[in-house]
Amino acid sequence: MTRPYGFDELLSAWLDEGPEVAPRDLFEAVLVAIPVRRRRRPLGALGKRLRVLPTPVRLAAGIAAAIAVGVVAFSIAGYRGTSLIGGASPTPTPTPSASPVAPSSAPSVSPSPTSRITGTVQIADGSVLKAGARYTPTSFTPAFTFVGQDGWTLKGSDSSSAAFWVGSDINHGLFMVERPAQVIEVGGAVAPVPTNLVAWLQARSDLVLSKPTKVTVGGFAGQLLDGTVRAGAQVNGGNAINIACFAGPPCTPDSSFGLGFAADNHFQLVVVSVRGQTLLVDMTANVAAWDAVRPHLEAFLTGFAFPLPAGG
Amino acid sequence: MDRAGTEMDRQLVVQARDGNRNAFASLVAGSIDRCYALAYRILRDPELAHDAVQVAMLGAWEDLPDLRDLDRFDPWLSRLVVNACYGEARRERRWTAKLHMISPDLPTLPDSAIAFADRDELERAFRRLPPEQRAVVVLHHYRGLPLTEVATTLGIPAGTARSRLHNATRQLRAAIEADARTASRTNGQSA
Repeated sequence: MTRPYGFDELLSAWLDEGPEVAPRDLFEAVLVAIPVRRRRRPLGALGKRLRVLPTPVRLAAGIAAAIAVGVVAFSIAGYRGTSLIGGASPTPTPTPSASPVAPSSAPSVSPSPTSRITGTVQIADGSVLKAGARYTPTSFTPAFTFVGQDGWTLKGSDSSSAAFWVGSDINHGLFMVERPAQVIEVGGAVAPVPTNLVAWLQARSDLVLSKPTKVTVGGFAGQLLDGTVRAGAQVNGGNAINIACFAGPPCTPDSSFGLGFAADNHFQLVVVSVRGQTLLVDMTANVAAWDAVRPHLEAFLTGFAFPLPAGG
Repeated sequence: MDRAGTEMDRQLVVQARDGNRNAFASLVAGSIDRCYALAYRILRDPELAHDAVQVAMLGAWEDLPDLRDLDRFDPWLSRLVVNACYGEARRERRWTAKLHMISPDLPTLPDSAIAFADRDELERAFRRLPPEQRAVVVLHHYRGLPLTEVATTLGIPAGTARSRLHNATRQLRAAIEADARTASRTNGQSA
């Protein structure tokens, strides 16, 4: 293999490949938290204390903080060139709450004149959703729309995946739509997406799945499997099982570009074929959060539609 | 940064140290991208990097009154970020392998610059390094700091920084070379 770079140059080039810009919600989260932080407290102890605060307390603190820092946010919005406070409305965003029913003063995202689907809001990664608004991810194919819920954020999307979740921890509630490019067998072998994805899922020895039930997603017939990770299943370095990859770098059991479950997840998978393309919908939360999050996940699913894009 | 800019930043640091939240927010605005880039490269995970920077920034707000050399705000903040990364790296990581998105702003390097195989091997080998070694690698190879400055930023002896870099580089290089040998053997078998 010919290497045009020496090792140090290779390492530097690889390190250069990461993001250079912080997510917009990070800046907002810091701003929101500043007023509720006293000074000269031991960082570790205070950090831990905040992490274990009951959700309602964090939520109340977040709302109070959001109001308090509004002036601060306004005054420095010009510092970073583009508005940090979001789209059409310069309203500060509270720190995302772990609660799936978090009330939100999130910025509204203006309908984009270039939205693929007329009458919907085309959203980019990092956009905080508002209840009742209908959204379209920028590039996912086939294009879909869905109805937002307060406190949820579109964390990442591309042409073959879109994921949104609530709070800062993926296990508090994740809704993900993926057009799988490959699957990962038990044991780690990578394989093409099987024709009968439901049967393939049912055959996995590392998942405990219900029998499939028929569902409709955006008018297309699909099958839903309810499940958990089997106790003692072989997990990867992240204590998770990856089962499918979307387009991206090499697909491996440790791949960072796929769909999988942590050992303590409860999930529902929906396999649906939309105009000849197989989609995998993943609704996941950890077992403890599942009952509270499930209605919200199902509401996302219910609100799906797959209209044909303008000109398409 | 020009002298006027440096002086302005210094004034912001002074004001923030004295409790001016607007000034601190301005400091955050001016440094958060650098901090996130640093944290991401150490942790290789956007969510952990997000949390680490948030912890570091809030720690900066709390501890700023203790900063003695106001001209060292940036290195001081970098150390807070690195320390926060250590904490995040050691947190329970049960979900970290579950889902990460392709960053939309990945530069489009030619394939010949970093082969997929190299990238994958580097990623895996780097993740196996302890966070203390990762931090030295990132500060040196990404930030471009000389080892003495790396040591100062991290608050460790220069010899420690040197040995961490040496050990990390040795492991990363071994991973790449092992991959190259495997590829060479495979090519030989298929030829």
